[in-house]
Amino acid sequence: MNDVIALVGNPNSGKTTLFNALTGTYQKTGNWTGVTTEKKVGEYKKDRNIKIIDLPGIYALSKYSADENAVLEYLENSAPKVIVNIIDGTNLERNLYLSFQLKRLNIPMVVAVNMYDELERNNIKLNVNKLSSFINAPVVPISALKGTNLDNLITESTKAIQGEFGANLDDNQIYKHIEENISKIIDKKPTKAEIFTQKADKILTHRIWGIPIFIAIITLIYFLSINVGGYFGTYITRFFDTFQTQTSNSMEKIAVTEWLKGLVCEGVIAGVGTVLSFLPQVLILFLCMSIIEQSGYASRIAFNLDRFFRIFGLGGKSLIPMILSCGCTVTGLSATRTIESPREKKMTVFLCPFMPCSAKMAVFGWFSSIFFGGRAIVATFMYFLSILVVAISGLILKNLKSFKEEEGEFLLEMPTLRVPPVKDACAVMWEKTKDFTAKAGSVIFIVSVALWILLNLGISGYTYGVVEDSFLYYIGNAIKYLFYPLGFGNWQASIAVVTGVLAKEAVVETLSIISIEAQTLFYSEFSVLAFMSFVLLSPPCIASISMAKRELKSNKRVATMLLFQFASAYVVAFIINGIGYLASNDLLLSLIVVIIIMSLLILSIVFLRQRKCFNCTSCSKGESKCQRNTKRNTI
Amino acid sequence: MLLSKLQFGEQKRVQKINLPPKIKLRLNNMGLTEGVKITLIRTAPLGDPLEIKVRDFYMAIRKNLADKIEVGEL
Repeated sequence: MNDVIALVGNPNSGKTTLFNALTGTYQKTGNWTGVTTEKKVGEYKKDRNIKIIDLPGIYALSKYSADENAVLEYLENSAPKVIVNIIDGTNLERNLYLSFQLKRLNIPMVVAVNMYDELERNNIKLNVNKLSSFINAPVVPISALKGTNLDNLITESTKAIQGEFGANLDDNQIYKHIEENISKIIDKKPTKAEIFTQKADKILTHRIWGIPIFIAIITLIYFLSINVGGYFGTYITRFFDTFQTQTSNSMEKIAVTEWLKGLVCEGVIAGVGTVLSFLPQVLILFLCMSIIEQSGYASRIAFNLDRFFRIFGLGGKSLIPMILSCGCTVTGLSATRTIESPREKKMTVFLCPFMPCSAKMAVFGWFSSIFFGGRAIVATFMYFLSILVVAISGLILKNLKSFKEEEGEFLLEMPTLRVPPVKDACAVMWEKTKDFTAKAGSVIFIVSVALWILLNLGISGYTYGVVEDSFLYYIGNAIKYLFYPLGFGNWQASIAVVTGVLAKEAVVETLSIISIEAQTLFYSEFSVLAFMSFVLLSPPCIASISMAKRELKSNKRVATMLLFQFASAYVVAFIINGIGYLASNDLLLSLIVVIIIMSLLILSIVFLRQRKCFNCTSCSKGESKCQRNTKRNTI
Repeated sequence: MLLSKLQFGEQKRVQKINLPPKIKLRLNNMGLTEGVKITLIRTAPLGDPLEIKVRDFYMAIRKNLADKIEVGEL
């Protein structure tokens, strides 16, 4: 029978880092709370018979949250051979609370004191023997990151047996017991990293500078992605251009039929090549987002912006999935699992897809280079536009009946700031590259073939390059009227928007297969912006929709979500395009646009007003039925 | 005295947590128990949440909770 080792510990104690080191695999890690939301199974890389289970981080076994329930359920029902309780050596006191609770489960346990290297560096003495007798379990000091002492940990684990039960303590006695003994086990003093963190936080969460610094960091990230990434991207473009010409030439030599040459060169190579040329931009954005998480800055963003987002019914726990969504919406959505309040969760799932994920970066990069002279400011604008839309949508959703519920409380650990490990940065880049190329080889490839066929096939068969006879032309023309008010009512852009729902990279792919002169599709910079914001706000990809379905657990809710996202995309694109009309001095059109925007605004204000009932004496429902008032009284 | 009314850097001892059992349990689980030493570190740029230090680690807590936590002399 296999030996099963379960990793249990506080959030951010390094369970997943240990899991990765033991199994030699790559699972997402981060220097903040709640990165692991589901249990992961792996095999010890030096002995495949030993199974390792990574569980979500928990503070206690009190059945308080979904995570705690999941861990407790697993430990009670699956009865692993041994629990490896991983504790953060720099924060023993709190971590040991869980250790005492785990001891009660009657499962053999080994305690792994992580970040032991940091203790040594700071000259903090930990008495391993005393700690071991204190909790009555073998203690192994390790460094999950550096891979120190891990073999020893496994050896200890495989021979671990249920030890004598130590002090049988009630929950409320545990802390007292720890407090009384902790000074004999460790000589506590602040680490250098902690002192540094406090100094840095003075700036990063400064009353005046905190938010400007956040804005500056985001601007810098987009600048790096668009400009530096774009620079490397041109080499990939050049490679594919040459490759396309070469292939075309050699195919001509061996007299391949016209349509096959077209399919391979103008369809597959052009389509997949265009998407792949954005790999550097996507990679840089993704890397920056992972640095934000790995360093611990993500918690500072949540801390800085919580109050702001709370105005819109969001904040706290819903900020974490949103920050994650800036890398990849699918990851962000999976992080919504830790949100306890159903309202907050539903709302977060609805709004996460608005965030500019790295795939949208390909679209922004393409448009910036063609229309805005490679200026990164447009992409940055998109980032803040998405925040604005999230805020407004939050405000609207908050006032809808089905989203009404009491506000969840917010407790967030502020982890010590750390330099992100180079090893992890490389792993992140490598995983993303694999991911991205796999996508290019599957979804993007299929879309390329399908688009090319539709573009070159009409009712009478192969069109010989006469686009006006093709199916794609007919389809595009049928739906283009929908997009007239948004400023891109032509068949090419319409098709691009539709394929964008499959995967956002498909937008640039489509445009590169259909038309060479993208400039002809848009009459002004505003219609380009309208198009970009529609792409930003419409559902990001098939994978994210299926993830949303997993979290929402209802087809009806997914349908509502999609409708909501399309509607938001439409309205925002319409407004941006409208502003464009105004700017173009066309009086009649400007007036129409102004009237429409005004009436929309008034309608929404009236709509919001109706829902507000701060003062219950004027509310016809009476105090007992007024949800808002009961909500206010709960806390 | 209330936790939310402390000066930055001031250390006190938690006397009473006047919150519903569920939230209190969660605070306890994270180490914020009655009788523990607590320090107010700072507030966020918009005045809320607050950052506190308890049992050698730092955490953010919203003002509405901090308003219900009574602290007293060490």
